Amino acid sequence: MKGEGAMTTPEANKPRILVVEDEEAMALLIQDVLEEEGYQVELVYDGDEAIRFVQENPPDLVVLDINMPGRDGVETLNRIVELRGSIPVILHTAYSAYKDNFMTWSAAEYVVKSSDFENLKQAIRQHLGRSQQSQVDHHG
Amino acid sequence: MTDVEQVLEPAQPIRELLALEDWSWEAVFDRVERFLQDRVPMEGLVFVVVSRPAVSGTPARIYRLFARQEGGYRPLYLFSRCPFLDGVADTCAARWWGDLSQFEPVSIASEFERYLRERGARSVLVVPVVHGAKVGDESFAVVLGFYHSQGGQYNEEALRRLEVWLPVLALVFQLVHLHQSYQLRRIHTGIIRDISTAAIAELFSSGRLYERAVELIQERFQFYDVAVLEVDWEARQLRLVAHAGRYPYYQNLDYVQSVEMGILGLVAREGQPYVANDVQNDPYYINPFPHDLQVRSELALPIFVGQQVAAVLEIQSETVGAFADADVDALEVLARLLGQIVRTGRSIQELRHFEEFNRQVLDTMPAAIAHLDSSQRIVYANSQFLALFRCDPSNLLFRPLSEVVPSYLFYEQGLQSLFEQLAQVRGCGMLTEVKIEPSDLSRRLDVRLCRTDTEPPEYILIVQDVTSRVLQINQMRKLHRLAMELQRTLDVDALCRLILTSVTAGPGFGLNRAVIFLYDEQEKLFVERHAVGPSSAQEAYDIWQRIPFQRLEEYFEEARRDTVQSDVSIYRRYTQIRATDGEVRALVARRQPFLVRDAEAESSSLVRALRALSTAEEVVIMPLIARNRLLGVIVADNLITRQAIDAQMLETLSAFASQAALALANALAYRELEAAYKELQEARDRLSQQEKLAIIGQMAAHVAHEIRNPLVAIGGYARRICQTSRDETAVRRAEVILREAERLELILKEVMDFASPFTSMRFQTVSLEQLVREVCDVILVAAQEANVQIVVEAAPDLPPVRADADRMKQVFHNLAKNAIEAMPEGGTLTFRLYPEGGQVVAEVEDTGVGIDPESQKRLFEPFFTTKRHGSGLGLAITKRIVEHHEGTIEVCSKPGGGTKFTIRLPRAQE
Repeated sequence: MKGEGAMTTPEANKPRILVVEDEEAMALLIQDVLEEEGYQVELVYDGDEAIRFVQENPPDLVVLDINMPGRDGVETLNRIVELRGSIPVILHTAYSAYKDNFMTWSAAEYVVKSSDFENLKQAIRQHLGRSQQSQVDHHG
Repeated sequence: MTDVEQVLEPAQPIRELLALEDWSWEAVFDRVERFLQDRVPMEGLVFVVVSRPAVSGTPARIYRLFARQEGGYRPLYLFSRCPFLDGVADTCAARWWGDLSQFEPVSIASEFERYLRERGARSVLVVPVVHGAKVGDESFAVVLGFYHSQGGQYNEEALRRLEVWLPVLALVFQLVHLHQSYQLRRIHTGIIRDISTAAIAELFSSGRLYERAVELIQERFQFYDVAVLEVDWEARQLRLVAHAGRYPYYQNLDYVQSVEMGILGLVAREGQPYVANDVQNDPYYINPFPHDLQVRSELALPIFVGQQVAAVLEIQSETVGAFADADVDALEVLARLLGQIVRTGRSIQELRHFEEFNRQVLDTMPAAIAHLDSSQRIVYANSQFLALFRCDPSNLLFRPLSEVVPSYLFYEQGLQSLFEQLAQVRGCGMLTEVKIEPSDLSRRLDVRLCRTDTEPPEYILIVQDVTSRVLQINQMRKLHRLAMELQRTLDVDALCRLILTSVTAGPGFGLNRAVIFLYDEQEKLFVERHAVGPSSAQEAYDIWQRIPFQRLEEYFEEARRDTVQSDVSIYRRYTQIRATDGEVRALVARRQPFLVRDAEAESSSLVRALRALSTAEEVVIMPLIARNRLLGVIVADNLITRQAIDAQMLETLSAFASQAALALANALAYRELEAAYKELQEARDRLSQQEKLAIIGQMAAHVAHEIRNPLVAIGGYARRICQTSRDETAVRRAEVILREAERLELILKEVMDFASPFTSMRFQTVSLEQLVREVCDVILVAAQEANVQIVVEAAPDLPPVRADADRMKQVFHNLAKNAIEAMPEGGTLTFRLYPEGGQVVAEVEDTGVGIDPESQKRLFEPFFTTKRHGSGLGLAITKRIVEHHEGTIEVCSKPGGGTKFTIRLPRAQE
């Protein structure tokens, strides 16, 4: 943790959220909304990128669209959980129908996209708090 | 003496010989002896009459010896064997012996030999006098026996001197024989006439006939014994049936002997008369009673009845050679006559029997039969004829048929023309199913008229009462029609109406009233389905007056239209009778319709209950049984007309009941089939509805996804503009975009919610009050903005429910949102929570505009909405969620009077 500590900046104090979203308009909007909430937001546009990102530079939380070209959301989710099981992944999707099944996946939360992003924001708050808490515990 | 003189010399004595007045052997022999006295040397002369039996029998000859005694010739001995005479008779040549004393007496000494020896005869001349060539040819001959006490008296010369006279003597003896035969025949003819006259009087009893005959034969001929033995050819026995005389062994009439033995057996077998004139020397004679030596001669004659020997007439005599030819002849005739009389008697008796038999046959025939002469007058009529046409038998004979039978039958139904036809052609004519009287509706006759082949023709009239056959055929036709009608009907109620119509309609069975019960096997209950019939005589009169139908079909049409029923008042409505299994089984076992008069006599309380339905004197109970299953029962009566229900009616009803039961079984099966089909169809409809919904859901999900992303982006950016822009016009315009996007999002959400399957409900024990209060928090702002006051009234001891909290919140959220929207002018939204039985009730009530009744009905249908902007799915989803909680939701509203939704959920199990 030496390096990280040396690079301490206001940016570095903000929780880092990886948003995986294939539609650019949506991705930028989410970034806008979440940055306003005070998160550091990284954007990737497909599953492979997301996995590479998680491997190289693990974020505090992942917001993952399910329906994507190439490696789809579910596969990506499984890979991420494999690599970094401690990172909460929020499934963020236009499909409300899958909600009943998401528990069988290893996602932390299932959020149906809505234009006010209230549900997403609430879910992030909830899971970041918990993971930060656990991190604190870990450090303690 | 000249030659002529010599020739003529005997003429005188011959004349003397022939000038007989007494034609007896005794007188003739006396004269012949005197005539020969000077011509042949002799001390004595005996005459032997030799006779050969006219019928078969023994002995070959009978010798009757006549000798002078006490001044005249007398018949002294009868015997059958004599060595002297036998040789003479065999050779038909005279013989002489010079000295008889030189011969030892032959072992079988005959009476002839003994007589000569007793007279001390030494010289003997025996000369046969035969009419024909020799003795054996004639039925009789006379042998002259000269004797002299001195030896050597006879020689050829003496014989030659005698031979001259022999033809004359032969002639004389022949004349005597003929004369005597004639005399005998005359006597016999009288006897035969008397006996046959007496026998004919006993024509019809062969037993009495034989008795009378033997009695007379014995009396008139003075035989020792006369008997008749009947032949039993099957047993091959002869049985004594009649006897008269003194034969002691025949005193009791149970003498039986075999046909294989004795003279009687021989005669029975051969069918020929047989005489044993000396039974001791007869090969056939068997004496069944050996110590009896009384019988010396026996004559047996067959009695033919037709071609067969039916009996044997047996005549016994104590004397040898008792049966002279004439006697045998006479008795033979008599035996033949007796047979003919017996046969005639039997024939007449047979004829009488036949006649009697005919009469009896005619009387026992089911048809009425009359014999008519050529003038169509009655010669004979059997008892059926008398009964059918109610004739007086004493005044029937020779009355014309047209006066005896009803004139309608004779003239109008064609009997007369039948006679006319038969006058032209031979043969038979027939009339079928004709009426006796025009008014007689039910009775029918088949008439057959036959012309005999006699000249002039006679007629045989045969009349058969075919009423029952016609009735039966009509009944069959009716039953068939009824059955066809019933089979055509598959609707149970219509069928019940038709069945009762059949039972009650005039052209049907015409019973006054009837009620039909169907048996409910599960409930063990007889349930009344239909009843027909008036309740009073007045009503009956009114109704029956108004029924315009004649034909059964008209009744049926009416029954199908179900208007007869409205005309006829039903005397009991929907009675139900409970029955035990045993009673039902007993009813099934009875099978046939039966009458019940006295309810007390019935052991089954079911039958008593059915009987109690009617106050009539008797009711008929018809079990409806198909394939051994009791389907129901019909109870019918003749309350009004009080007409008795007879056995024939019961029989026909029985046939009808089984047809009705079959039709009913079909209809019931059809009904079950129909119900099953309907259920199947409904299931199919539901399935296709679900399939439809599932497809819609999938489509919606895809559409939603495709729409939601851009929608979220649109809404999101508009919101960002609103939040960050300082350009007021832009913000105002962005706000419009945002609002519309949000509305679209809401619709999307609802569609998605409705479409998504409830596969993973998370049931927990939930407090409804808490849940409602959380919803209130969410809607509080919206309520305040709409000037709506929220009230929560929760019972203090409210039990928890098992629910998916999120879903249940959605329910109350939907209802609350609707309520607020229903109160544009503001108002009160009340949540009322209280327990009720095993349930928890939640009411959501507003004071808003209310819902019209038409809309209320469709309120929970998907895509139905009263709002301008709505998916129409909110309440459908609500209902679905509630139903997934095994709860109910209902709405109560009136336009302008507010709306109240009531949800009932089962309380959580402890």
